[in-house]
Amino acid sequence: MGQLVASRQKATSGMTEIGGGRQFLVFSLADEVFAIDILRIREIIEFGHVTTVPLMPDTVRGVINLRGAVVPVVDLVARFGRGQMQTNRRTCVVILEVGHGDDLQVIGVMVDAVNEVLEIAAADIEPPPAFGTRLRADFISGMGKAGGRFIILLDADRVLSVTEMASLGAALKTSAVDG
Amino acid sequence: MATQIHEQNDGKRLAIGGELTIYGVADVKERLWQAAARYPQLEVDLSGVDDFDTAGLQLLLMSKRWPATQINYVNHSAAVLRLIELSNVVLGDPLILSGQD
Amino acid sequence: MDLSQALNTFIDESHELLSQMESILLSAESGDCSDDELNALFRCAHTIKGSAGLFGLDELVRFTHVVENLLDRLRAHTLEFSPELVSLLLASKDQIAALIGAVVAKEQFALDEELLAILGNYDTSRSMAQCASETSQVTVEPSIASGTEHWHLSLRFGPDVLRNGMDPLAFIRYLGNLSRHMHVETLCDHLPAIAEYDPETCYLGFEVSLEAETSKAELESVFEFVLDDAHIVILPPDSKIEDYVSLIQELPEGKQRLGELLLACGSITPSELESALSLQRKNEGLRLGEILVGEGHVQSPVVDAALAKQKRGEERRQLESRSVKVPSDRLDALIDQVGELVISCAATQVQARRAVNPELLEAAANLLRLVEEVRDTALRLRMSPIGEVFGRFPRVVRDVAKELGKEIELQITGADAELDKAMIEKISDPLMHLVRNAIDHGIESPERRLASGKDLRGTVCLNAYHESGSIVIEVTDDGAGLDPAHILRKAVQRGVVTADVSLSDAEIFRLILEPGFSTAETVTNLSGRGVGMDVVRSGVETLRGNLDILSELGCGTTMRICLPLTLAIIDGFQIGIGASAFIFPLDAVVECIDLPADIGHSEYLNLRGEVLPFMRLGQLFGISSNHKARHNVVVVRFGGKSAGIVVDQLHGECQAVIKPLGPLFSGVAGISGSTILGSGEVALILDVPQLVQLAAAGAGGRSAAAYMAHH
Repeated sequence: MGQLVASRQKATSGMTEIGGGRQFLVFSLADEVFAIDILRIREIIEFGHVTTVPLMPDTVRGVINLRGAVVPVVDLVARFGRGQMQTNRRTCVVILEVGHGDDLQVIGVMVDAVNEVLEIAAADIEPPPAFGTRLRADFISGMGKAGGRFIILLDADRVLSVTEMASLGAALKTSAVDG
Repeated sequence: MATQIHEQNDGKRLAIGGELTIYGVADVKERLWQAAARYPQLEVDLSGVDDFDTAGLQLLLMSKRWPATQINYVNHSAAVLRLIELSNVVLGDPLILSGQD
Repeated sequence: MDLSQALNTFIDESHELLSQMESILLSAESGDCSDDELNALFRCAHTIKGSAGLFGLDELVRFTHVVENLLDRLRAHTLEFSPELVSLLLASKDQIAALIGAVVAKEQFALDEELLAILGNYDTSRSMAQCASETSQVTVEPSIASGTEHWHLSLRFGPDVLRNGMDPLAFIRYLGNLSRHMHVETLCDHLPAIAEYDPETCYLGFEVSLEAETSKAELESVFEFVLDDAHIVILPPDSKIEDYVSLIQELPEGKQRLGELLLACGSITPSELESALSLQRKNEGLRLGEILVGEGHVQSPVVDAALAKQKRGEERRQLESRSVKVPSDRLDALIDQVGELVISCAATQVQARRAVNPELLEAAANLLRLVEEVRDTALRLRMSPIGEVFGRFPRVVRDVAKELGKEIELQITGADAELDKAMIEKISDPLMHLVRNAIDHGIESPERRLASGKDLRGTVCLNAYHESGSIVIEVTDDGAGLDPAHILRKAVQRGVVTADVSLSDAEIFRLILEPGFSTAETVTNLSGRGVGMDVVRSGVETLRGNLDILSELGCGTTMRICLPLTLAIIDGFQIGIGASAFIFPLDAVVECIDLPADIGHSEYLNLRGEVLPFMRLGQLFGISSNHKARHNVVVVRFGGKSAGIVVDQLHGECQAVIKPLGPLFSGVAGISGSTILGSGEVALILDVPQLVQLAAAGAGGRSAAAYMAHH
């Protein structure tokens, strides 16, 4: 984790100096690999006890105590519409900041493993493909080329859109009643 | 803002910035008097003066009385102009009154 | 001295003074104004003017001075109140507030010169005639009626005045703001030789003439702080030539020179100067004192005594209001720290219990008790009486009523009820909407009211009180009330509900909170655009409160807002369902009973003869549990209604520092926040008002899903 903090500091202090590239945290989720802009990431912690909040969809696993702050934890597997995440003792929680200014939220996401920090130059980032990925197009901010393969770069603000996730609960419930 | 005095043109021109009030007037007097002792003609730019009081006005009045030196004040700032107008004194320098006040 | 700190204090105090002014003016409009109130009104303006002068706020001084003159006449009873005058003074008060606002925002402000002119010329001819008729010996001379009051001031500042922190020209600038016209002659006669010049010594003198409506006392008070360091002579208007003569004799400069100065100031005419100098020559031998005629210096001791008395009065007032200004972020930091302390204490207690050490347990219990006291004190620091918000309404009601042509009486009760400072600002707008609605839509026109046998004057009541851990704020009107049939028709028309739905009256009333809903036949200027009620609802929800609507057709409507008393720390009662822990606010808990084993599918309990609706929390939240033993029922009470909440285990009392859950969880029914237990786990805090509503509505065994579908 110290390495993460150091590389983030490098990123914020001299983005233009490091050849114009942005840094990304690469992590594994089920069988896939994703990446998120490192500037969004506050810290990474072990997965521990999560308090379930009733009447919330599977997307929101619950809330945790992060040094006195109550932080929601999101299940990305559920968020991507693929069921529910199976947690084990290697599961981590990546704590992110989404939104801006007054709307800034701190949200945690569960991941299977944290792989590495990669620097990807702007020239190596391509726009999201029109088809071919199983993921919602608006969740993808771009495709990053690194080490001969493409990594899906997630748009954290869209994936963790609070307004969208909050309304999910209501929508699910009304459909359950009607249907 | 604290008083600043810049010398230009080998000391024949002074630019005063910041406050020209009771708080800095003694220093300004020393510099001004030194310069006046060296040259028969001095130009003093007041455009940077943002705070000006009776002590400052008094200094300007006194400086006009130097026996062998002529001190010309130019680019009077708004703060200086306000007090010159209020006190109704005539210092003898041409005043440029900008429309912005 | 930190000038910005002083300026902030001035701005805060000015707001209070302006508030006071408005109160007095409004009461003057509806009834009599006592002498004390008139004096207070004058002092408000006077204080603002004086302080504004200290900060060099020239426009403010200029405007307030004219207002002060009018108020002075009012308190001297040479001017009487009229509705027109009250409106004029209220408008002036608004202008002063706007001027101060511009200072805060560091913006330029264009003074309303027209208003200034109206104030300056207000009723001059009439009041002068009144004065004349009362004291018939005084003949009103044309020069007075035309408004010229020519004062002459001779200012000789002492050599140390600059060193002592005074700026002579600042005094002169202030004089300029009091006057319509001013002429200044600066005397350089005493400037020393270059070699002897000390820049921190003052050598300048001033002769000043003023055209102003003021008094000798006021002009002398301007120089109150330099009287020791300066020689000030004030010659009032219509001073006789002898006065000018004695001035000339008194001052150190040459007589010819002084004569020229006086001439330059316009204080005397050339012929007067001639006669003055000749008179002076004649009186060369006479002592100064004998020439002093009229007001001259005799007035000074009297003025001094009055000034001293005023100063003693100020000191007394300062003693009475012993309060401290605290930056609010420091207060928030303190509350946070106390919150952490509470959690730490709870954790300590948990450990103490496990350690099975009686002394340790007792020490921990004592610690907890003390921490609770600190917590209560800290929280009370953030509380302010709701009267602060209520105080704005008399003016609003007056203006709105006037605009709509209705007669409204505003009654305010419970202004002492306190709530968290953070909430006071946020509740102000929703309340404003509700009051405007009450006047606009609630209260009928005077004709309609008379036709229905009601009093011509409509009444709007603002009330506030505490109830089981919450503060209740009510806006009541005795107007037309809500018509359920009419509302339902409109709701169906606008597609808010389907035509075949069956709703209780209470549920129908709640429809008016839906966005885009408005039953006003004509969209008035103020409301009826369908925007207001939706804003009220979201405003109340942001504060985690509830809004209830009670109404009787033909009689009136009450809007009742319930807000949690504090957003910070509460006493809690912890319960468990399955593996989950939840917290009840202890204030809302009445008692705990066992759930009878034979309850079956009934949704009601018999509690000592009282019918108690109940609900199963586990069912509501969809939590499965294997709890085999007897279930417990926590009886809670809110808003006059009781309900039983069935849970698995009871865990006992605890402290809970409230951690808001954030917008992600805003839709969850029955949960109002979260907290961190001594064990480090997160527990959710239950929203009792919502639970009671659910139980009473007979939600009983139905899940929250169905409830949420309707809301």
